[in-house]
Amino acid sequence: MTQEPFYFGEASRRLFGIYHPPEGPAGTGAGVVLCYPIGQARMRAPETFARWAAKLAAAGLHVLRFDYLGCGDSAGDEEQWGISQWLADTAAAIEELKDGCGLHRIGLAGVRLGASLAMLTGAERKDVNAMVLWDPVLNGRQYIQELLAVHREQLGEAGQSPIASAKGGMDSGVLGFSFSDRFVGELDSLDLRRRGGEAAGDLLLIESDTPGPAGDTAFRHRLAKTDVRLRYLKNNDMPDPTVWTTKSYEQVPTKVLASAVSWCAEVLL
Amino acid sequence: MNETAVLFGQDSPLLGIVGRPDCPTEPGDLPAVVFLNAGAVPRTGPNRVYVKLARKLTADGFLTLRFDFAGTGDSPGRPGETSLKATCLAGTHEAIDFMATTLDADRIILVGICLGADLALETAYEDPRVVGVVMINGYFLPDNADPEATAYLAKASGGRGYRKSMFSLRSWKRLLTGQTDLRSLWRFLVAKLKGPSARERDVLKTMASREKWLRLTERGVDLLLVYSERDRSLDTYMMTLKGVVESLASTGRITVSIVEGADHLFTMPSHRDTFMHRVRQWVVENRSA
Repeated sequence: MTQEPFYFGEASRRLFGIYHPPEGPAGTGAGVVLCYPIGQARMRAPETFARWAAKLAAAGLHVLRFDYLGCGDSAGDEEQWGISQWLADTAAAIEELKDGCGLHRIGLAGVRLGASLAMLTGAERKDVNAMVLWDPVLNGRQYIQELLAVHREQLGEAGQSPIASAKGGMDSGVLGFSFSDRFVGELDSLDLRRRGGEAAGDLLLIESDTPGPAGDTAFRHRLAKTDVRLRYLKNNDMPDPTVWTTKSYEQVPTKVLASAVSWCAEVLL
Repeated sequence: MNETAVLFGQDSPLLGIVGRPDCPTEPGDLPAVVFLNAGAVPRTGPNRVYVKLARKLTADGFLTLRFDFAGTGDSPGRPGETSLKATCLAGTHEAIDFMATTLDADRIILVGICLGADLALETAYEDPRVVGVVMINGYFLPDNADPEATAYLAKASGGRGYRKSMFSLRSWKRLLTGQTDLRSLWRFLVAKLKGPSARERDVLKTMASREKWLRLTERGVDLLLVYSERDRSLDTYMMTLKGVVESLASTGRITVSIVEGADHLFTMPSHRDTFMHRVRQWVVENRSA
């Protein structure tokens, strides 16, 4: 696996990324930006994302995976966490890959909140040709409750009592990370069933083995109003999306990963 | 922020992030700080604690490196790896070599959590360039540990968690609704009531290598042990290493710090902040090591 780690973006808010050059002929002109989940899921994602990037590169695609501001090795801290900021970061990553490699076809692929950011970004831009949305967070308020439930479970075993409310101070953090009131407010406002924009191109929706986005009537209606060519994939290796937050570091959904890579190569090359 | 991504080491290179102080000191003025993976947790550390701590230390004037062992985080695995420990030790030596040859940093403070703590101690013993070691929630059990004594440790540790839980309504609710691991709790209670056998007691006392710790203090290496109050590693320390540390108190080289209420990975931000503050304070105070 060939990978090139580097920093890019504005001097005051440098973002960390890892570029994977395509194997074989370099002139494919197509690439994929991988969008991480956040928090604990981000901590447990490297193995999956490294393999995903390597397989995409092996298929002939340029690949960039990167950290949002305040995440991973990028500049900043949880105080900078925000949906608006991360949408700007995703756009910066797209520009970095497109301009750096001279690409004319771009795909976005994300997991959990990364998938939500991918969808929102794809809806705002005209140059995103394909999207992979893997267990996207459709509703930010439900997502917060989901995280708090896992948080209570993990701290409960140690006899500690985390704050129950999602607003007005999460003094005990959420699974090791501080959620500012501003960030909680932005998450609370996130609802892809109402805001999904005018996405176009090809879309692969992957969901874990419980009723998910594909089963959400409002979300399906939203997608039906767009021009996306939708393909759907069920991930039978993971019982539900929260596994991204709790799984072992080594666990990689290899079968679904292979299918996602094949799909990207099919629609982008 | 002055950080650079680097690839170093042989064959499949290891990926790391170097943090440079804005006002660089002369080479040799301050030791550099190298962070070792906490088991399978990537180089950012549990809940990004290595990133936060590295940046604070860089602001204090220290050169820092956080990196991934082969097969962890973003560093690819290497064919022919013999064992996890051997792989990690090799990676640590490569990191120290990289700091010395590329960045003129030949005095190193190692920081490690859990498995990283054990590796930091082992590396310090082998490599004279290590002048300080920060070991967080480490176990330091020998590779060929006596199985009976190890089994007793496994049953008898975790006491702090159970004792604190006695005063937690939430824990009682978990017990009464069948969510508590009753088998673990039973084994703990039996182990505590019975206590270790005479043989187990003797073996436990010899599990920590006094010779190793003595050699390090004689070499002038400063050692900081940090434990989370609720972590099993603290119980293990009490039963194995505490006697050794106390016997070496006169050297003035070993400091033990316990973060009250904290779990293994300092999940609560307040505990994380306390832990980082103590480590940072210790590193700054020992800069002339």
